[in-house]
Amino acid sequence: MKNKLQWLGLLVVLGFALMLTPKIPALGLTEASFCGRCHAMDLQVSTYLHSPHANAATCGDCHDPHGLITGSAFAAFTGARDVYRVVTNTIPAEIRATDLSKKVLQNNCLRCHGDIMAEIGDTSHNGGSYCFHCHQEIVHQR
Amino acid sequence: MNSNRIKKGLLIAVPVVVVILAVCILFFNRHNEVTVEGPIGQIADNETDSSVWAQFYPAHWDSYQANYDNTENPSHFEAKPYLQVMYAGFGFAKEYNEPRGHVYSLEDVIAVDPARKKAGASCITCKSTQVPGLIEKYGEQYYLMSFDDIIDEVNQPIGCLDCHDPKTMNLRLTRPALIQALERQGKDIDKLTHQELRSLVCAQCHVTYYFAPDTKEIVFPWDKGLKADQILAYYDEKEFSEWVHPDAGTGLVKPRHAEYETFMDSTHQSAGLACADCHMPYVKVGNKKISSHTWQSPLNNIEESCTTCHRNGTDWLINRVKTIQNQVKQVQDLAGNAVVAAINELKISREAPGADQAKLEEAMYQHRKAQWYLDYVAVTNGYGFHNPTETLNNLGIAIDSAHKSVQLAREARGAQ
Repeated sequence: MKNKLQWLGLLVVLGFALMLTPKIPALGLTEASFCGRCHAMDLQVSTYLHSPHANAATCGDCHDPHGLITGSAFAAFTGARDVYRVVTNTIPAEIRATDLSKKVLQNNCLRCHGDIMAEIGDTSHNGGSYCFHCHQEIVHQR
Repeated sequence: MNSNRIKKGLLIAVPVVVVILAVCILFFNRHNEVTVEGPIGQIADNETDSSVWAQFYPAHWDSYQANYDNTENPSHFEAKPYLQVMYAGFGFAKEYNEPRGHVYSLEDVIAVDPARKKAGASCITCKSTQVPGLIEKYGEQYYLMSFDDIIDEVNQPIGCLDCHDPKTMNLRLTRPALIQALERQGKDIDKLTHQELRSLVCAQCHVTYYFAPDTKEIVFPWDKGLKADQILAYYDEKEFSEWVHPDAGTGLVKPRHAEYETFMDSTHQSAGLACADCHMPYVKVGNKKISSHTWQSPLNNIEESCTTCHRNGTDWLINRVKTIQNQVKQVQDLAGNAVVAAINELKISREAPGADQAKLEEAMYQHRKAQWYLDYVAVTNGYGFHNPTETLNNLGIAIDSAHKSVQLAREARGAQ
């Protein structure tokens, strides 16, 4: 019994440590070279590589929350979901951002571009539009 | 393994991990703050002078001042001569110029021909930022006062206070007619979203309205809905006419610049856009973006208004807009000529001895309907671009009704 508990504890610690790995820049787990491994994201990745953002931001810089725990938990969940979709061949024909993902993206837009938007503030506040509602193709297509 | 050693190890490891985690969370959160500044100063609750606001919002003030660059006020009759025939017997026939914009609102309304100022103080309701204060001061009596009484009390054109709360800079509604119309629809005006308000602050004035016959109060005819057919049904039910056409004998109602009504349910509106998205796009001023307060055709600053979403190139975009507007203008002219033909036929039939009065009445109703639909399109800015399909639909109904009117008027006097 005690042995089992020890193993469980070890598993939890290991799992937790593994979950944090996307936040270690040296591993490059949020870069296009890693995220673009699956063909599902070919269009997004190839257009992203031609955009100015390719020099300044990785996939995860925009698509994951910036916080250490929130960011890695989110990346773990979405990453696992995407792997499941690929393995079971249930990738949607049209990949769309979820409502939560949109909020994450909006915060990340403002994290870097907050200064220029200081007068206007968060455009999505109180039923407003997200930045990328208009600026749809600025980072990648679709 | 010795359980004591594990306990000792855990005793050290757990606090260390907790501390490291706490430091990491703190570090990441400290660098995850979004820079959003609040209002920079305090402006008085009822500050009607926009130049006072300018001290706190210099970039917005500059873009507001740029409205002075629009100096053209051409007559509607130059491009649409049939309107003058349609308005016979009504003040609009005397003079109908396009105003030069918000900053000229007072100058322009003062310069309008006196024939159009019979409604009195109501005419100034959308011309000065001081009007909500005057309505508070005089109550319902405001609308019954004369044009000259009120014009002496105002010296500020449309400005900041008309749409903004001076404390929070949030958008808000100040004109009673819109607030009342929304309340009659059962909407809670305190629960409007920011995006709804980015259209509704414009809808305080850029809508069709009428003066209530007894109180002279401005009323939005929206109780049956916002669309041309629903508004006409509203007037028909009330048997309301603003004037009688001297030649045709028809009781008529006059639509006014129904930009908001037309825009609702259009492609752009259904996609979640508001008036401000195209007419007040975000523009870069130095190291900041502000919402432009130079109200104009989005074609004048197409790279800020259209190309943010549409990446097809400015030439292609301008071509698309011009094509739509030219097509609308073409059909609008057809409708205009058809309505003038109906007026002429009605005139002949009314003078013919022994004309069938019932048929004449029917012909007059068709004229009322045709003129309503055509006028609704013709006086709305944008030549249909606010909602191309609906606009062409309205013009189609106008042409059909005008033709029916011509036919009925001929039948009334026994002609073929």
